[in-house]
Amino acid sequence: MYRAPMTMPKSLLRILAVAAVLPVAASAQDGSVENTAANHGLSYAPDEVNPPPTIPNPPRSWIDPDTGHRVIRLTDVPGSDSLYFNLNGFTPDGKKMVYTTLNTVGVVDLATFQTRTLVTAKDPPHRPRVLVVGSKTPTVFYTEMTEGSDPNLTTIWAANMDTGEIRKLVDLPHRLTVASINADETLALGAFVENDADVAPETAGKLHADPGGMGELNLGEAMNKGLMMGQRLTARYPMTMFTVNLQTGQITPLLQHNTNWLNHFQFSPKDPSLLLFCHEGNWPLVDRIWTMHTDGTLPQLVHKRIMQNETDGHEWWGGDGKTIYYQLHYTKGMQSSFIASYNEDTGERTWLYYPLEMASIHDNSSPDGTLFCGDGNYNQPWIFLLRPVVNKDQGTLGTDLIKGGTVQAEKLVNMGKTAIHHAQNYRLEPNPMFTPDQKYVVFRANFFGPDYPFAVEVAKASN
Amino acid sequence: MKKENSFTLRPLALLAALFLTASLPARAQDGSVPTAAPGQPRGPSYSKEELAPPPDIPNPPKSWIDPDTGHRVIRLSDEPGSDSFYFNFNAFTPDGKEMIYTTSDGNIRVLNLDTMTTKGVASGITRAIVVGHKTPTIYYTKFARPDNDPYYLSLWAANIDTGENRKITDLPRRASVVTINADETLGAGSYIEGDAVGPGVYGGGVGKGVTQNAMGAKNLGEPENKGRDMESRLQARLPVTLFNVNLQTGAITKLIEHSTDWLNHFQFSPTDPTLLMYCHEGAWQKVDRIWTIRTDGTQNQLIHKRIMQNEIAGHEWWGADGKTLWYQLSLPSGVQDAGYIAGYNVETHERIWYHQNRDSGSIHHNISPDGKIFCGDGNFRNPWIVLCYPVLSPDRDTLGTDLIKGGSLRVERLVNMSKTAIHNAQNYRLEPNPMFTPDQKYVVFRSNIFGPDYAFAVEVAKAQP
Repeated sequence: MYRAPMTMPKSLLRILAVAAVLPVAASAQDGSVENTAANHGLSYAPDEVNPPPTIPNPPRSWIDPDTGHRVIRLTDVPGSDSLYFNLNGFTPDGKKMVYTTLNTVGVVDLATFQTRTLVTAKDPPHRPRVLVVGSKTPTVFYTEMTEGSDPNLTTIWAANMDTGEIRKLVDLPHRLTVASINADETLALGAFVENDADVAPETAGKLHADPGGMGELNLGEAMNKGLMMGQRLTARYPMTMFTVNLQTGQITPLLQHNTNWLNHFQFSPKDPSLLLFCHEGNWPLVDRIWTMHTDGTLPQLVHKRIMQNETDGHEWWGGDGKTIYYQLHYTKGMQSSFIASYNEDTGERTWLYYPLEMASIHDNSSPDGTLFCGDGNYNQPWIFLLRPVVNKDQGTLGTDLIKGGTVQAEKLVNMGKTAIHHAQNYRLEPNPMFTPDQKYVVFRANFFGPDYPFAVEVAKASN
Repeated sequence: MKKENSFTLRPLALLAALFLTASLPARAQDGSVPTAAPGQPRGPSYSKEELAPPPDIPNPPKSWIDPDTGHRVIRLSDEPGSDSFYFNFNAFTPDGKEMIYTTSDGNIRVLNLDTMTTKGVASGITRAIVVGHKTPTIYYTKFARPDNDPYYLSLWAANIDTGENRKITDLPRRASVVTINADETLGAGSYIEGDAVGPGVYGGGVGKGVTQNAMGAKNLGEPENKGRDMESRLQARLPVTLFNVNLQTGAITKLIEHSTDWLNHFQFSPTDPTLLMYCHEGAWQKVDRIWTIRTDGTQNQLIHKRIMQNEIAGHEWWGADGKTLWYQLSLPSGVQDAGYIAGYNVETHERIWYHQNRDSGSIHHNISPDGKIFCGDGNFRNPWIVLCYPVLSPDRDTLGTDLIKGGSLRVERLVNMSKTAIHNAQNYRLEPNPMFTPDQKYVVFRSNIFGPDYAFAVEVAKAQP
């Protein structure tokens, strides 16, 4: 029977439990915020405490004066956000995108930029948490607190983004919740802390409540996130990772009694039986990225480090559903960072070097795998378009060698202060993603004060 | 090779050997110079302006303060066409007071580092090898036969203090010796087995006298077609023997025979007489380059195993402890900012990678005797002699075992190798080959900034104003 350490006060356990649970989809599942290799524990500058001042009547569209790319504000709702970078927000036909507000889930038409509300919270402040848009049907999957007063109970719902029809899928057992839906939309994937004697009520109680943020209309990483993550990792709660059948509600454990902090669950967008998950925690302290099959085949570590302070993370699936991408950093002073990829089928690896000037909190890839984008960071406040340049092999001796290359960066959006907007407060991570047609990079920003989702055109605006 | 071929080709073989073989000590054994940009074939290529040495500057100054760095530079040698050693050959007597250098007319001379005076030690050499780690002895080779047949060399030693020269032994046909072990009981070298001739024998390890392929009569320099010729040599896959020669008895012990890897760059540990480093020579990405082996032929092992395409390791050298192997690492090559100075301790197996930056980029790096500072000789794009102070990154409790330590380099420039008010720009076909003096007060290098080659030293400390 698991017992929390006797020396740990219950109030602290409550805090840890909050840190451990999955926040709303619009923020990281509880993404480590690894500002490159520079800072493994998180701390924010004093000027990052509050969101920028509100700019009334922000423009709907403008051409970034520093980049020449057109930027479009996708919603009119103050406090609305696009999804975390590795969660699919787009319908299979590529025409619609989901966004979230404080208490609703909305849809934006990417051709007309018209928006409408799809889901409204039944029991505020408990709010719908978006998991992902299906890879097969135009369905947004989300969870809400199960109707009634027990905050330990979660229900999985599905809303049709074309028709607006809402279906209840599964009432989950006590304290279970999920975070990913597989490619054929038959399974959901999640995890829970097994022994709830000390942590359960508090943990579950926060499942559907305040996600944390900089303000009522602003998401943002917690000021003390690094500290909380360290404490959660040290606690080593035993966990179960499981799938739930969306037809029958059947629960299948994949890992049990696992004292790694299991998190960042992502099904392959193509292979319904393939998933990745992470050992969460400050990146140097863990072997982070793992793949597994839903039949329980043993987990495989995706990246094995060779150096002290070598870290990998902010992983995502390529559009092919076979390639796992991630950021790879050597130790701080080495200024050696890469966008790394691993093909689950072939075992092929590619590392694309990028310098500090092109560093981002998150990178992402285009659906066809030919382009990357990045959301910049506190020191490099830009939305980037990154074009990979893979080196030709020069007859290298050896087998199973990693391909090398670089990226060439084009700046898309100045996230610093301009004549049009304030500087982005990077406690809100912009979380870039290509639209399915690759014409836009979508991100979220607070540079008008409240959060809004935006899209920037990949092509330069013509005069 | 068939007998009649070797017979008819013999004059050509001599010519080829003269033209293509390993160089005087002042140059790389035939170090590859990886200068290619991404996507381009590897191997040295030189631009037109690099073909000829810089113009002569008559009466070059004996000493000056570099206006861009504030460090005093001293010209160590007076003979036009005089050179300090290749960076990883020891040139210093065990007491640290004297340094060997060579001249273009085949002489070995010694410089007293206190008085800055020089004297002759040996003449008529084909190659200076190293100064012993135990005694003030310079080892070298000479032609063994009156007709200067380059296939036959003799191994010699000269006492630097007394000037006494003695022949140690005649070497096997086609053999050279390029390193001497820590207690000066063994030399190590190699020879091509058989009679192969032609471009494929590039770096075949035999002497060529003093008329060699260089930039000029008073100028060493990498061969113009080095990249092409190295490729031919690698492709030829000529069988090679790696051997020890007993310096007392002249007895030959074969460590590796019939190897179709191009065995080269032999370097004994400066402290462990039984430990030898050697390389598989060739374009760096096409070989697993750096190996160590014991003098009894055991423990033959690869030092660096690559993980990436175009990943290269090379320009390796021993730290003064005789246990740490240092080398340049590029991961992958062509990525300008993914270069490292890598270290591997053969006893503890501990590894350290120091990240290079654009200011530290050099053809060769070297380390101070106390292991605390690196130096570099710059390159065509970064023409500076530099100091590189290593900065180790503290471990953040990383999960894992046998992890490589990481760090960075802080660079201080010592000598501007471009054109200044005092000198011409260095033609980098002559690689400056930096090395610390034993007292760590100077970095020694060679240069053609005044036209002919000379040996120089720059003070590690800044000059007092």
